[in-house]
Amino acid sequence: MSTARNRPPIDLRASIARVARGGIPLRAEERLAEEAGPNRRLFTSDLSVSEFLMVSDVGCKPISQVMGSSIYHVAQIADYKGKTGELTVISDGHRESRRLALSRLYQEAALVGADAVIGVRLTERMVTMGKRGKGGDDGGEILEFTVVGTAVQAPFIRHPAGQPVLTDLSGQDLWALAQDGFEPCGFLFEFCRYHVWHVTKGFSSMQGELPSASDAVERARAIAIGKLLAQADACGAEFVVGSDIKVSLREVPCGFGGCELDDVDVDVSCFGTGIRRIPNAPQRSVGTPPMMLSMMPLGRRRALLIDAEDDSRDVEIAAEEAQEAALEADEAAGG
Amino acid sequence: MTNPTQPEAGSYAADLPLHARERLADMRERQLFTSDLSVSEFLLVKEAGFDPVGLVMGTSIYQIAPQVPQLPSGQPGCELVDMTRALYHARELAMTRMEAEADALGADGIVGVRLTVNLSTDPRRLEYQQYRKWAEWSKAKGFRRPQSVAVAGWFPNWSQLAALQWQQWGQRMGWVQIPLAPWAQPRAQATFALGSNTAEFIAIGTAVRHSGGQNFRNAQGKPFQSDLSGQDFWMLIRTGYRPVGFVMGNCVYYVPPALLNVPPSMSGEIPEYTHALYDARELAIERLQDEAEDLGATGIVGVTIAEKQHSWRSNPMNIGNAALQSGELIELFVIGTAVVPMPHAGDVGRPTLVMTANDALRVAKSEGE
Repeated sequence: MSTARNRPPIDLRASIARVARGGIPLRAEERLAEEAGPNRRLFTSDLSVSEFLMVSDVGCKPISQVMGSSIYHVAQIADYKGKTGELTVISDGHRESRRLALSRLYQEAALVGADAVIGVRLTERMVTMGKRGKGGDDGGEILEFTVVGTAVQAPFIRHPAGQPVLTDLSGQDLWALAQDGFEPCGFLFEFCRYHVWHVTKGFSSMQGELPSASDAVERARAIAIGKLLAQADACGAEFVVGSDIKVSLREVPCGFGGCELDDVDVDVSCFGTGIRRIPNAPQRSVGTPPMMLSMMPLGRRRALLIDAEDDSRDVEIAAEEAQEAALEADEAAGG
Repeated sequence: MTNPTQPEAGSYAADLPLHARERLADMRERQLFTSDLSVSEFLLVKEAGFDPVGLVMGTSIYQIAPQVPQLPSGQPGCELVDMTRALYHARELAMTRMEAEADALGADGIVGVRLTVNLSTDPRRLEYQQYRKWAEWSKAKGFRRPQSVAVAGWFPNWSQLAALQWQQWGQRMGWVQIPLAPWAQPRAQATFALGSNTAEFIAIGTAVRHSGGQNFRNAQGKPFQSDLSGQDFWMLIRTGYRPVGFVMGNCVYYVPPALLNVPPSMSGEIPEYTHALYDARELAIERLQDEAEDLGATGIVGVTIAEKQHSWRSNPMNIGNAALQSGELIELFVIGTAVVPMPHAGDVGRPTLVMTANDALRVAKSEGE
C-alpha cells in the first residue's frame, strides 16, 4: 500500500465545526485547492472515455471528481396515528440531507473553479433503521445521502463566476443538448412522505379501488412536483429533463389497540435537471438525424466494474423484514 | 509470495501454481486464445491494433479479523490501518497474480479488468441467506409462519424462530420424521473450512498484445492493466492516450456507536460522521493519486468511488440497528485507469447526432448494464 504523502495534521475540531455549519472538511478543501491550482498533479474524472470525448468536443475539460455527502438522523415522530397528510418532519429530514449533500458538492465544484458538475449520481443508504425497528415508518433512522460527479470547465455555460451548475445529465446528454442550443441551469430535487390513516376502512370484504390510497399517491406527487416546479422557476429553467421520479407505497399496520386496519405510507422522490435556451446560440438547420442501426454500441460495462458483494443493503433488508413481521403480528392479533 | 508446496520457480511467473504455468505455456504455443470480450469488444480491440492472447485471472482468499479499537472519548472515529492494509493487500495479491499470468503469455496489457469480492464463504452469512430463502418460499406456499416470536426486535432469535417454523411445516406436511432444516444441513467441507471473516478476491481480464510488436508495457516493464471495456480502450487509443495501469486506493474507517446514539427527537445531521466519510475519501483518493503518479500518469479516467460495508460488523445480531451497539465499519474504495498521452495524437472524428434504431433494452443487455 502506498502511504499517503505526508501532510501536516489538520485541526480536527475546526474541521468538524465546518461540517456542522454545512461546509466541507479542511482536508478536502486543501486537496481540491491544490487540484485547481498551478501545481496540479493529475486530472481525475469519473467519466467513461466516450463521455470524456463528447465533452471535449463542446469545449468541456474535466478538472476533478467531486463529492457531497451528509449523514442525517431523522427525528422519531411521537404519534401520527389517526392522521392523514404529509409527515413534514420526515419529508423535511430527507430534503435537508439532500440539500446538505448537494451543497457540499457545489462547494467542492466552486473550489476547483468549475463551471459545472456533470454526471451527478446519487446513492442513499440506511445506516440504522430506527429504534422501534419498523423500518423508519415513524422516523428515528439514520440515513446517508451521497452525490458524486465530475467537475468540468464548460465555457458555453453562462453563469455568474464561481457559481457552478449541477446536473445529473451525462456527458453525451450535455453534448446533445448543446447541439440544440440548451444548457443546464440547476439541479432540482424533492421528497414527500405522505401518510394515510385507515386505508382499508369499510373494505374488509369487498373488492374495488381503495380511494384514499389512490388519492394519497396523487397528493404526494402534487406536493413534490409542485415544489420541484417552484425550484425550476427560481433557477430560470424552461424545461426539466432527466427526471427520476420514484413513487413507493407501503402498508403499515395501524396497530392501535389491536386495530386490524392498515395505514399506508407514500414516498415520492424526484430529481431532475432544469435546462434553458442558450441565448444567441447558432441556429442549427433542424432536420431528422440519420437513422443508425448500431452494431457496436460504444458503452461501458459499468455494472460489471467492481462487482462486489457487501452489506450495504442489509439494514434495508432487515427493515423490510421487521416491517413484514410487524404486519404479520398485526394480522395474527386482528384475525 | 512464494508457494512452499511448489518446486523451484521457473524463469517467469514465479508466483503461479504449476498447472497454471503449464496451461499458459500451452496456450502460448498453440496460439489459441480465450477471452471474455464480447464480439464488438473483440473487434474494437483488434481495430485498435491489439490481439487478445488469453483470459487471465488471479485470486486471493484472505482472512480479515476486525478489531474494534478503543477510542478515547470524544474522538470521532479513526482509520483502521490494519484493515485498510489487509483489504488492499488482498486485492493486490489477486491483481499481481493476474499480471503474472499476462506476463507469462507475453502480453502488453490487460483490458476489461474486473475485481470481484465473494463473501459467501462466511457460514453465518450463508445461514442467514438460506433463512431468507426459506422465508420467501414459505410465503409463496401460503404457509403462515408462527407469530409467537415474530414481534419487533425478533432479529436476535431468527435461528430459533426459523427452527420452530420448520417444525410446524413438517407437522403440517405430516412427516413422521422431520429432517434437518435446509439451512441447518451440513455443507461441503470446503465451505466450512474457510470460516467467518474470510473473503475471496478475484481479478479477471483479457490479456492483449500489440500486433505491430510495439512495446506497450508500463514504466515497470509489466503489462498495463485497465478496467476499460474494449470499446473504451479503442476510444482511448484513438484519441492518443494509452493506459498505464489500473490504480486503486482504499480506506477503512471506524465510526464509534456513541456518534450514532443521538436523541430520538433530534432531526439533523451528524457532522462527525459526515466528516469521517470525507476523511476516508480523502485518504483513499490520496492513495489513488500517489499510485498513478508512481506510474508516471498524467490523468486518471473512469474514476469510481465505491462505499462498502463489509460483513465484519462485530455484532451479528440485530442487523438493522447493529451500528448502534458496535459502530460502523465503512470502506471507501476508489479505482480508475491511469493514462498518459502518446506522442502521435489521433482523431476519432467529430461525433454526430444519430437516431438509433436499436432496441434500447437489448443494447443495454448486451452491454451488461
